[in-house]
Amino acid sequence: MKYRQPRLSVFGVVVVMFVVAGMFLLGCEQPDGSIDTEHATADHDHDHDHDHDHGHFHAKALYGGHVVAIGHTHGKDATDYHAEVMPIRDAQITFHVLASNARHASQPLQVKAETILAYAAGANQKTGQASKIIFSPTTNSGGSTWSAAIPASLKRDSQLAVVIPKITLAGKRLNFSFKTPSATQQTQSKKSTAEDSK
Amino acid sequence: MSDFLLLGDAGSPGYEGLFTDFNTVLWSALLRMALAMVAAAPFLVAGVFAAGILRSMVGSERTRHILGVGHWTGPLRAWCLGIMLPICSLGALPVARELRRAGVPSGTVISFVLVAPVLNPVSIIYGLSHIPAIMLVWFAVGTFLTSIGIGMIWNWAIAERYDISPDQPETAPRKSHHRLAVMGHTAATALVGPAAVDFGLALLAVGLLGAFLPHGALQTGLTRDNALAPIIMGIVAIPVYVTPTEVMMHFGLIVRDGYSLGAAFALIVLGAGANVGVANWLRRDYGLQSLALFVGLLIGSTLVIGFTADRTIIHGAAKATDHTHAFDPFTRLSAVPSEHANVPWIYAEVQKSMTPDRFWGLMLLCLIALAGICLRVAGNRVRIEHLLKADVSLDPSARNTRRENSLSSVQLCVVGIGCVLAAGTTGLYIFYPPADALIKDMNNIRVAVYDGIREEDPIETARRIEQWKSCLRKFPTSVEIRFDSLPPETRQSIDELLYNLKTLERYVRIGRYREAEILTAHIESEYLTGRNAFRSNH
Repeated sequence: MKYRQPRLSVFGVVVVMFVVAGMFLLGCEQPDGSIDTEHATADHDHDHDHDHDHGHFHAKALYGGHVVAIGHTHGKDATDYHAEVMPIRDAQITFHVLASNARHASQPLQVKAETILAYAAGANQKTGQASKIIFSPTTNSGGSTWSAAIPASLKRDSQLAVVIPKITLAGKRLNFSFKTPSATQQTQSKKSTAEDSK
Repeated sequence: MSDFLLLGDAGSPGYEGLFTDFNTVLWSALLRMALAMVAAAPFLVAGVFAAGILRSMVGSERTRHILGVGHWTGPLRAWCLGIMLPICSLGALPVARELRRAGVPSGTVISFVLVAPVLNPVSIIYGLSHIPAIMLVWFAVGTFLTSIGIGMIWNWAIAERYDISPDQPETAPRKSHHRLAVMGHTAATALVGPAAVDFGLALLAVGLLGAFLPHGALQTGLTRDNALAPIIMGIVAIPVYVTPTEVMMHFGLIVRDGYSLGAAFALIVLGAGANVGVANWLRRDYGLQSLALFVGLLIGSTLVIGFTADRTIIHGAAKATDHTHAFDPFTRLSAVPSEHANVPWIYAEVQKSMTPDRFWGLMLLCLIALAGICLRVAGNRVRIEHLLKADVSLDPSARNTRRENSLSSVQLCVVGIGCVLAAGTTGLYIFYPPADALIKDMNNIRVAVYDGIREEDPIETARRIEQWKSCLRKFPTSVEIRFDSLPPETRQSIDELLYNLKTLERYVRIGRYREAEILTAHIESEYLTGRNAFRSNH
């Protein structure tokens, strides 16, 4: 049977196509892990939420300092990274980098970097500008012990909060923060070290 | 053989083992299915509307004419139609159904189904901003050869023997309200019935992969020096569902990080192009033997092109020891602790991935599905077949109005391509505003972030950080689509800022505002470095 071609509304076709294409372009936001964001440097971002417990190992203080967690890896050779923060001495903040896993207890870990950038501010102040500090490896530590001079503006503070935005351990980019041990913590830490040595 | 062990372990740093606890298996599967459903929603809506438009406005006779029924160029024309429609592999199913209803040979339909989800206006424009143009051309040639080759072989071997032409071809209605009724009815009913089984199977396959493919299994081994990389990816990609934009992102990552192009091609063709739903459609209509032919041809051609690419195109920089997280979304989660093993956690995770298009796509999809179920229940009481009979169009009382002139198929194609490209380009430039506008926005947002931290307001701070991250993610593409280059310092600062904003978010979430405030000093310094580097070059 012969029939006429259907009429097509140019207006209708144009409107529908614009709506459909427009709807999809709204969705062109790059998801996490896209090229321009988290994988764009050699330091891949392996950061993920760690609200869960993996049954990680707790590092023991080797030098009588206060131990803070830096991060950990997954898998068979899961490793925990810690920093052992030492009490402030001679206007210097010092920390040791430690690694531990299921087979080995805490041991010093060499960090392959010339300096580590950090920011510090008075821990007990509500507000206040943070100062930039640069940690350098101490001599003969093999890159596992790092220290930095406290800036003049922070010398009056009894306790400092320090944030290290970037540290690369075993090829993994991590960050951590700590508070320098207060007088009470220092005493407790000394006690615990003394008990351990007994 | 040891290369195959890469799927089993091979030292992936995040590999969590072949077996895991029940919670991780079950809730990983449910999460992957929910995320795939949400990601597919807008594309699926586009697919059902495209099917409705084909039936109500184009009509079967014109569709057959456009797709060259009876002519060897059918698959070629289907490839051209495919690159015009912004749909995913699930959205291609309703369109495929309409093409079959119009009497288009199944081989031609297969060509369309294979190309539309991977090469369309959205993915091309998105791809151009992430992948070197030459790679995109190679990729287009690869999909062209695969889809047209399979379409032609299928038409020759299967379609001529098994395809049934409709007794009485449908004709698109003349009246606008009839067209709208047909379009709405077709779109709604496309989501129920056998098609729903196809969608369900495709999602189930995603869930099974999410349940049983160990976390970290794809982090290593997909380098170009591994001859089995395309095969490994091919095995995984068959049940995978990837949207056109996501596949371009994965392709971009693989190319940039120097992983196997063969694996990338396998992911594109077998992951984004075909899925279990397509296979089920072919099995239902043509039987298992024909399905085996299709799968054999698809995997064979993909691997041949993939291997050729790995051996001929520039060698990748990635080494066997390198690892990537680009494919983690296809695998099981590393662990689902018992406190997360519940529906509210799935809901929260889905909410995190929700973008405006996904939200509205999902809402629209639910509405259309609901309408489809109602129409199904109503059965013969709501029929549209009488509107699609040829004699309706012969109604002498109907007169062409000035605004409703007939278009030839060539005019229709030109108008369609022009409109989609214009809309795509306009949308792209709206979505990625000029760099200056983004900088202006970020200048204000960052102050709001710092204020939020000072005032210890977690909700406002989190909201502002999200806005800042969104601007930062758009920045490189915004510069590049305006044919400009991004200084390396700026790119480095953007990466650094995105990382630190994530840390900042964590500090705020756990209430460590002092540390958050200290970190803002570093964030501010990085922001100014990147902004100044960009300004000095522009």
